[in-house]
Amino acid sequence: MATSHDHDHHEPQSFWTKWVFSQDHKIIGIQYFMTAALIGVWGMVMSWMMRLQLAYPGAFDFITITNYYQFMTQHGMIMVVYLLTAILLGGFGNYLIPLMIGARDMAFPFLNMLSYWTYALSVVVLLSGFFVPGGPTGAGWTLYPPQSILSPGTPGADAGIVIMLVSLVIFIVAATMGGLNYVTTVLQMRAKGMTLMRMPLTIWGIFLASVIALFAFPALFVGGVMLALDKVVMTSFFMPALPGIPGDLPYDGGSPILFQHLFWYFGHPEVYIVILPVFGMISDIMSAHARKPIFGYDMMVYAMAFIGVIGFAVWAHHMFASGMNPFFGFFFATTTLIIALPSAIKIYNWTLTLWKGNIHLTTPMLFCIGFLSTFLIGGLTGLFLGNVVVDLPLHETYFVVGHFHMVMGVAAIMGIFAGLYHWWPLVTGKLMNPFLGKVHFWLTFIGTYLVFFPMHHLGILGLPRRYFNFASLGFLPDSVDTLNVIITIGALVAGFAQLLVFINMGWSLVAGKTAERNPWKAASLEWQTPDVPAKHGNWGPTLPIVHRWAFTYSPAGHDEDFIPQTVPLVPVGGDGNGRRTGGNGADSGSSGSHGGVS
Amino acid sequence: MTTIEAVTEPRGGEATEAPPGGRLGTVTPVPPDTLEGRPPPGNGANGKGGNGGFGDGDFGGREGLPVPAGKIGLLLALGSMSIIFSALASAYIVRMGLGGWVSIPLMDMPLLWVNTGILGATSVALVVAWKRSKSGGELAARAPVLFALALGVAFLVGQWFAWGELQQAGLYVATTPASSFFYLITAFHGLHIFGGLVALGWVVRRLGTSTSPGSGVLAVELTGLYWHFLLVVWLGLFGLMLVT
Repeated sequence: MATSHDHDHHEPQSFWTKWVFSQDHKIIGIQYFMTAALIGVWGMVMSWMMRLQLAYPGAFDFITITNYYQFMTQHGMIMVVYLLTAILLGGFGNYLIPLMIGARDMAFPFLNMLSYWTYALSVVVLLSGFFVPGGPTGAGWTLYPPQSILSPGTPGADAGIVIMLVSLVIFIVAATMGGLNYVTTVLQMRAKGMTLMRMPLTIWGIFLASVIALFAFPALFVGGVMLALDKVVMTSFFMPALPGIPGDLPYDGGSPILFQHLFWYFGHPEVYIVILPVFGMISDIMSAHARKPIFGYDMMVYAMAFIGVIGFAVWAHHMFASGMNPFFGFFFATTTLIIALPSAIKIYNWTLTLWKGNIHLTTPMLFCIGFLSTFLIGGLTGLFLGNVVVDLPLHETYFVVGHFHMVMGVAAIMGIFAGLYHWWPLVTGKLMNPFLGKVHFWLTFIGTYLVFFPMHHLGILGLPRRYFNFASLGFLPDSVDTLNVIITIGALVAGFAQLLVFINMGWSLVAGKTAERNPWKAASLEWQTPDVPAKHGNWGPTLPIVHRWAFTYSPAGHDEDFIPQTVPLVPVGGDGNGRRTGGNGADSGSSGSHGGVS
Repeated sequence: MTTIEAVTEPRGGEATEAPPGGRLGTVTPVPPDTLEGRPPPGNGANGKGGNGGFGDGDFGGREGLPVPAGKIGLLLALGSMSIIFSALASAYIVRMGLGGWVSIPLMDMPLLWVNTGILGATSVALVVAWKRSKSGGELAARAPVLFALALGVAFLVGQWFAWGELQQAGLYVATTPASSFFYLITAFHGLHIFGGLVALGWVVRRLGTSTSPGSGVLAVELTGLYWHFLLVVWLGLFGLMLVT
């Protein structure tokens, strides 16, 4: 086990140790971010393939029924695991944790480097699936047996599924190494004065998501290994007897439902692994760009923690359609609906943060508001699906596709872009083009709404998901075809709009204006390093000391409309434990502290 | 940032590090505990190790639990591993109730009991090592750690032979669900044991050669904790497979 001994790493000099096998959290964060973004682009291109087929069935020779299912599966798996999980924990987590808590690096820098390269290996193995006979698995991202490993079953049921499982196992190893690092770093490496309840909410989100990851991924690990054994050595963990299937298969008595439980015990918390960091980032960014302290900081923390805990007790709501004891259905529906409470607290708090704030409609803020909208829509449709009796007719329809893309796809992407635009000057010292950023936002926002909002309607009409072709379904009105074309156009627009952010990043690096030290005038610690972008070791000769929370915006009687966390206070009462007391300044009208807020 | 002067914050917080004498509404100079004004850094020779050559020490300038980071990391890892073994155990229990289940007669395999005893002895050796490292210095722990290493290897070899016995009895990985689980569980456990052997080898190398005092004791303690965990896991899973 690594100890503090590992911190004895001095600034690397060679190209390889500085840029490739780096132990610096900032480089590793960028490596994670770029790898995840690139694989995410591939995931998006595959979604276009699906949409082209659905809008213009049969018009494209290169989209067959086989690779349609492969695109569908690989799109889902890449987006959820290899893009969102990796970019939020590995990318943002790595870059921001030490800077936001006032540490020089992660607790275990070597392990951190190992985590990235293991992740990179998992991506390579994943992509190798496209080059094996039969191609990658097309079993759907849930990889349900028996058809995922049965030959003939879903596409890629021979080499493809094995490669998928191997890649997942490698990914989980990487995520575990990363998670141990993030949690330990947050617990043990905070600068003096950075108490837990003074941490930015970004750190709370990443911290809680990392804890969830540590306790959720092992179930997928075990399920994945068992599924691989069922495939390779013909054990019968999940495989039942299959009378009538050609070939003398020795399977007997296994339970596909058991796999579903192991998968969703991981799969549902995975949703929170993705969305909690986004919650945190949105909170911090929204507060900074509304020049107002986050409303209800404590409740934001408790709500995230509550979601994290109860998120482990809702998984079977993905399996209502698989059938279960009605009492279990009742239990899981209840726990699922209870999650609406902390989620609603967060929505209210974000809204109240904006309320009477000095809202700057910067690109990061636009993405924050976009997040609020898509997360709310997706959350509300989640209430429909959390009920067993409503879920059963909707489960196999596009209503579900619309729901989960809104709540954890688009909402998460909005959060990632908010974070990218907000922290770009921190990482590069350059500004991005704000006009291009806003065009990017509006095309993304309108495009994704065009894609996912009509899907709810299609779902209620009964349009089944996972279908390659709807031609044989007589009950669908003609308007379905029109909507499918509109959705596909929306997908192409929203997809091509993502070129803008890459262009903007390139333009900024080459010709962008140099950013001032703290261009958004944010109060949190990451902007207070002696050099921006921070150099190796982040903090120069001595570590910072933190005196206040990360949300002192628009304080009364002060020229600047924010006070960084490193600026000391003078004692004026309070509970004496270094935390703010009572209200939080700018939202207390009676104290006349609305300075700067109109 | 140090150019921004401290002011009273009406309701925004309480300062434990604030300079004395500040009054409501007054502007107070920045005290000498901000970046530039702090005393020169130490040299990291406080027994807790340095930090990238910056000499911050481990705990002096930080918030956090008074526990070494390595211990927190280990406890988290054990938590994560316990989900792996719980998932295996619950899958085992669920699978038992389904078709094709034939128990394997583990009671008739004395080798497994011997292996269990060896694993228990490994833990005992590591407790001895930990106590000796605290009282007699790091080098005193070397012999019991080496002994534990040998016992750990013996355990793995013993498990390998147990696999051989099962195969001689015609029980292969895919023969029955119970045998599948036996191989799967022992393989998962054995891989973790292998990791523990690597850790023990690293400790042996490190004892007496480490430059920072106290780190050897910690290393012995942490590897010991890991092995105790694997003993508890083995007792639980072996017990489960034995009685079912």
